[in-house]
Amino acid sequence: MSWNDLTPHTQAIGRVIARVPLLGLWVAWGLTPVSADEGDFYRDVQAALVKSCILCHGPSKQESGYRVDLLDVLLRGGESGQPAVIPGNPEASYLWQRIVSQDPDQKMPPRGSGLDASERARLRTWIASGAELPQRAQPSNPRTDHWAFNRIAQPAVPAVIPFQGQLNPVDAFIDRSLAASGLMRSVEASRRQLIRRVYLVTLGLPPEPGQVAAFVDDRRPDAYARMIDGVLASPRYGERWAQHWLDCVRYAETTGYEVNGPNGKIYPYRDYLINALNEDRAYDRMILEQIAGDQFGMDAATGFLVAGPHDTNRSPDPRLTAMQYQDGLDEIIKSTSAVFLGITLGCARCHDHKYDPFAQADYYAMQAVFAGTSYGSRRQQGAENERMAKSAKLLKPQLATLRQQLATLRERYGLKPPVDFHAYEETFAPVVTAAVQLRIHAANDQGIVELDDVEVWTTPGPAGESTNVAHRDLGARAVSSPTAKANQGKTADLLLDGTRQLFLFFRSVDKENVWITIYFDRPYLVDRIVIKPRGAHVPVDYRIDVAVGDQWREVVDSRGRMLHPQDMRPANRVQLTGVARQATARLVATNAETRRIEAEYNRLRDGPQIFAGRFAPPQQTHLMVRGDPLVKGPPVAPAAPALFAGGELDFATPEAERRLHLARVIASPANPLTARVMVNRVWQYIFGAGIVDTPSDFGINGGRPSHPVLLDWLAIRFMEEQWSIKRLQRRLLSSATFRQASFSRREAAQIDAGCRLLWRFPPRRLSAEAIRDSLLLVSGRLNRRMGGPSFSFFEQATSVFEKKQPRGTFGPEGWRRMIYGEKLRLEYVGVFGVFDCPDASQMAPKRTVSTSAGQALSLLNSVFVARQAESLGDIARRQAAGLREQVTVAARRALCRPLHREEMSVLLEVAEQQGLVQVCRILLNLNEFVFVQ
Amino acid sequence: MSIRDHLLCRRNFLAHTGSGLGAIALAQLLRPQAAGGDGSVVFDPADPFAPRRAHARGVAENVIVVFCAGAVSHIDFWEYKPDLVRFHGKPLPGNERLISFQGENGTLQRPLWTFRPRGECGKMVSDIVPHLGGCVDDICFLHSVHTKSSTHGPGENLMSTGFNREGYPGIGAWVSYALGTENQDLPAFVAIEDPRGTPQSGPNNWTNGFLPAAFQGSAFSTTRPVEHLQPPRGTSPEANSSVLRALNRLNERHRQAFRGDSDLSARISSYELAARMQLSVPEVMGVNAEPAHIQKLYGADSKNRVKADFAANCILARRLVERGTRFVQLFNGAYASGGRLNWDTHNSMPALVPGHAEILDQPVAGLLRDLKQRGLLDKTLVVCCTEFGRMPMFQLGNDGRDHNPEGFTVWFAGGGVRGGMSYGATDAFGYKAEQQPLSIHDVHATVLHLLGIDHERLTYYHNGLQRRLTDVHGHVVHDVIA
Repeated sequence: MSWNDLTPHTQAIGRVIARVPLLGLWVAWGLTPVSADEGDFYRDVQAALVKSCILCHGPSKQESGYRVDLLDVLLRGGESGQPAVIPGNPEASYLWQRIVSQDPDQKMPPRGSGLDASERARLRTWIASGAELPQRAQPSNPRTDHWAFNRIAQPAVPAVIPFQGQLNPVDAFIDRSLAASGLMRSVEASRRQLIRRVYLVTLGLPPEPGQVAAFVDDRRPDAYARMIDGVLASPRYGERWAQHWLDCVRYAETTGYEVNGPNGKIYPYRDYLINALNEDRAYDRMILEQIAGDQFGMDAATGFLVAGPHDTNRSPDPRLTAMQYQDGLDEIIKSTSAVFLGITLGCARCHDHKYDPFAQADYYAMQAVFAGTSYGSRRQQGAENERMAKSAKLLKPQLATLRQQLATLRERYGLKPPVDFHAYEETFAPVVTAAVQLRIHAANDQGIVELDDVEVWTTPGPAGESTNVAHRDLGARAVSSPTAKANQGKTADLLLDGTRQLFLFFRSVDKENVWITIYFDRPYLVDRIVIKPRGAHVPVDYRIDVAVGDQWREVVDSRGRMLHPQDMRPANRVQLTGVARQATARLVATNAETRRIEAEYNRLRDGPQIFAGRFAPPQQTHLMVRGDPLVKGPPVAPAAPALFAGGELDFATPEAERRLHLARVIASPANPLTARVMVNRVWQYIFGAGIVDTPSDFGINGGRPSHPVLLDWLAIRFMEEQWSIKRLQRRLLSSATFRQASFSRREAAQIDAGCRLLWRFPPRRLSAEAIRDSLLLVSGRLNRRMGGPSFSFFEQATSVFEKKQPRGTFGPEGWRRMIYGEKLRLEYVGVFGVFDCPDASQMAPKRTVSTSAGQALSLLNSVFVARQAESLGDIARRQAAGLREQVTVAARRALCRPLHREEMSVLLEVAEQQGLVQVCRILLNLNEFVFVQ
Repeated sequence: MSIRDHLLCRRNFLAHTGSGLGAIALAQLLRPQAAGGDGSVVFDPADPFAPRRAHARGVAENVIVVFCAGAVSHIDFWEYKPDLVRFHGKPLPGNERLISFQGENGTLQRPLWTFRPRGECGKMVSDIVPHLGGCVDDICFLHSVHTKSSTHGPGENLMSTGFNREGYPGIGAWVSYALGTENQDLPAFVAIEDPRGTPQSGPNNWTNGFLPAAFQGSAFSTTRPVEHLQPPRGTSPEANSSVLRALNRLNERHRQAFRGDSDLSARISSYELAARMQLSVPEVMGVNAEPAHIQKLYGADSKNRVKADFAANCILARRLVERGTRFVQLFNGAYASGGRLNWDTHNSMPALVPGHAEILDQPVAGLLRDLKQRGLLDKTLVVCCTEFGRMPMFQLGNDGRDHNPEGFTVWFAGGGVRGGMSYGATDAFGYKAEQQPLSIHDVHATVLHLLGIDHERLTYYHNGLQRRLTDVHGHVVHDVIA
């Protein structure tokens, strides 16, 4: 596929009829060089202009006919007629004059700060030195413009002299860039440090003293490799790495937004990830499963699609509803594009992407892929489902028998059909009346009564015409027994509005003796009443009267009707016309039994329900103009972003085909981003920072790779090795780069303070989860049970809206790893939330790391940590007799090493004066305890 | 020796010996300036709250946002609409069948309380807020604010973070990220929840979003103390200081081996701040120590428990800014509750609103007067906001007003704004912002401007963009600045 065959543009244009083609931007980027040796015109000059000017002088708008993205126009100038750039003479160049002007009417950009001093300096230098354009200035495939959109090439491993033993190719790359900066790798870390580092990085838990001793004493030449193999085979591994993935997708068990109620059973997705990672499932396979797992019997995997927030607050407001639909799909588009591809396609919702080659049409093409996807619970296929289906089948005859018994009884007693929970009708002899009254003795659940509408119909005329006279437009009024003072109107008037509305209906306060009187504007001849309940709290025992003169006269009552299956009144509250007490009791009992069996049958028939992607035939997708949910543009067919040249699908493509197609485009070895993005994530979680430090943004505005060739080499290896994440990790963990000491070296820090070149293993603070899990491991309380429903960090609240109160203490259930704690969106977990634990409202491909007094207070003073300190003290007392030995045991558990003499004397003094538990409290607060070094 | 003495001694010692912590002290003297080339703020992770210079000289130094959760009715409180009286009982012209958040609306409903001219400026204000009515000469009303969402959660998000979706940093987080704070012993950004509970969007109002977690608001109030402030039960003060001393010694020893790692120093500093907070937070929370006439001014002596507690929160807000806390978000109203615990009165407005107004009125008026008499109002911007307004009609079949995102009132006081002023207006019935409409971004841009911050230059990189509080919008409302 080449630029001439199929450009992103022609694809996009083909998809969108009558769309303004925004050709310039990408072509312009095609003019920029990729070689750093050429002075990087793009980075030094054009990037600054694009950032500051592109909105008004770019593909979308060309004010004064000028644009900065097309190089010839950039030089030539716009409608002013003045040349924008006069090579060699910045002061005479109109572009420069406008940028540095002090005149508010002249200065560019008119608002905002514009170019900063260094950008101006670079621009000026460029003009002054002749405004040279890059050499390779001809239009090319936009992929070649930006490194990450290039196909990955097979790079050669640099030849460098092995340093400290055998050479891992990773080290060759690292050493080359270190050498180029006059740096050297650090010496290898001690075995104690190494095992602790490997455990914390790979498992999120420290090793236990026995494991440390075994490794330190292992004299075999491959001791380190064996230790790594053991760690990668641990079930704890999947729990650690699944958490990273959950961060990226902002997984939570509540919906977010205003209601933020429970999602339903979404934890099977978390368990899917843990299992898949533990089994080292091929990553390309995991992509297919997470986007289209329902096609492979992996329903839980599609939890990926719906792991983001969604608004469940329903309203009749059409704009709000349309916005909620768009927002729901937006979250799916953002997850899919950012997590797998490292692109910020979400930016193209309202307009073409400002920096990257993604048209607004690309955004809506992906929306079309997911147009049939919605949030909610669905059946989970698999063994459990089949078991339940089988049981349902077995139960069916019993249910049929019971229903038959009820039908027979109804016939025997001559009862009319039961009320219908949607709408039911009572007819009676025509009568002239100006008012009707409903007297309701009981609802089906003996609770309050809820009704949407009551209609009273005139006796049909000669042509069959009939009118509902119980309507406010005809002047009818209603009064009733007390109604609920709910958040929305719940009065009797709402029975007469002729519509079913979400919030506007009648709700009684009383549970019995409810009455509703409807007055017409004048008397009518009527013979029919339609009652429209809301589907719950339905009147089942009532009578209807009409006004005759100043008397109420009964026309019909409900006691001639058969019991509704959902009628839950006990036998002594049920009266049926012409049915004896005993017979009534039998009828009620049979009805109750039928109800019970039916509920069980329905449960089995529906199968196991989990919260995962729900899929239905998609509605037509349109480009929404400016992202406005109510302004439809042209229809858009499903496709992956045109950059990936996957071709577009037919408008009629079935729902699942769309997702499978997208998943295949993403998981293709030809995709320039997928492997790079994943390799970079793994690198980041091992070394603390990615080779690209914007892990979900590999676009033009994202970070530049510190080791681009290494990244590509790893990506190629990753794909060659069947996308095995564990093999990639083994390669990184066994590198000398990983194994070097973490001490800072002044001369190296002066050259590369941020340690991007990796002249040492960069130390870092543990994540919230690793701190909590480590505390529990060290205190001997860690419950290693895997999977299943989550434990809660919060006390039970009485309302979903109420503030969640963090729990202070936990039992064994809450001593499971933190990944098994219920993740509530928008809530910070007590004690550990302050350790930069994301709240799952935004994707967190990289956690911020901050240090605050709140963290110090949590570890020093919380009940949770106090309990772990006590428990650690108990272990030390059990394992050793003397105080000094007890301190040694506790320290070994917390720090994986013996204490130095000075440390021992400090701690021993505390132990003697304040007790062993205070020593444990110190150990669990040490910098060393919460840092991986 | 107390903890504080100990820390002070040690700090002096280290500063003089020029060792690691001395270097930190030096870094504090060389305060980093706001804004790198891309608009990101450069700050020392070991000292994230060091005061930083703004882009320009601001008038305001501190902000108190009074957030009336649940949506206050602008037409019953702040913006006088005589046509609502004249056309009472008629449908809203041009929108006879308007479907709003909860569905159909009834007819126009006159203001539920009488408006009368107040103050020297003669501003028409409702009788439902008599105390605040007495403050109008210090208040600048923005009557033409409109928002993007008609549901509470997204509405609160937008008002507090500039985005109706979740996970964007709150304005208090942005401001403390930009400016640091003046008192290193207290949090830079405090969220004071209503005594009745948490607002609808809860912590998203004071989240750090994608900013470093240090800039997250600390949520505490007179009824909800700071968590984990005191040592675990059963730990004597001596045991505690002995633990802190030993901890410090071991951490210091460890740091020597990792010289040059600022994260380790930052963590040592955080334990020092924690120790100082154990003294400073109870001190600032000592609202009861205020003299009786001050308690009375705010209504903290009220027999109405909620009002007294909210008044105490208002006093706490004043004590915080007095001591240098940069940004206080003070909530009036809790979560969705059928209008019982917050302003969301879809029904029974005549009965429910006076209760809410009583809780708001005197305490906030007391806050304004107290700040003024202490000379703090000049440099403290008080913002009274809510997520949206309410409809000029009652809802169909009900005696409450539905949500109205099309137009509502936010007001400013102090901090360099013009008092006794009204800016912009909704239409004749109070439905849509009509004259000089203001987006939430405009309100935010103006707040930042008053603090000396250029809203277009305060940025932070996140997932592909240099993010701003004001997204890509926002104009400073220069007309309201004194």
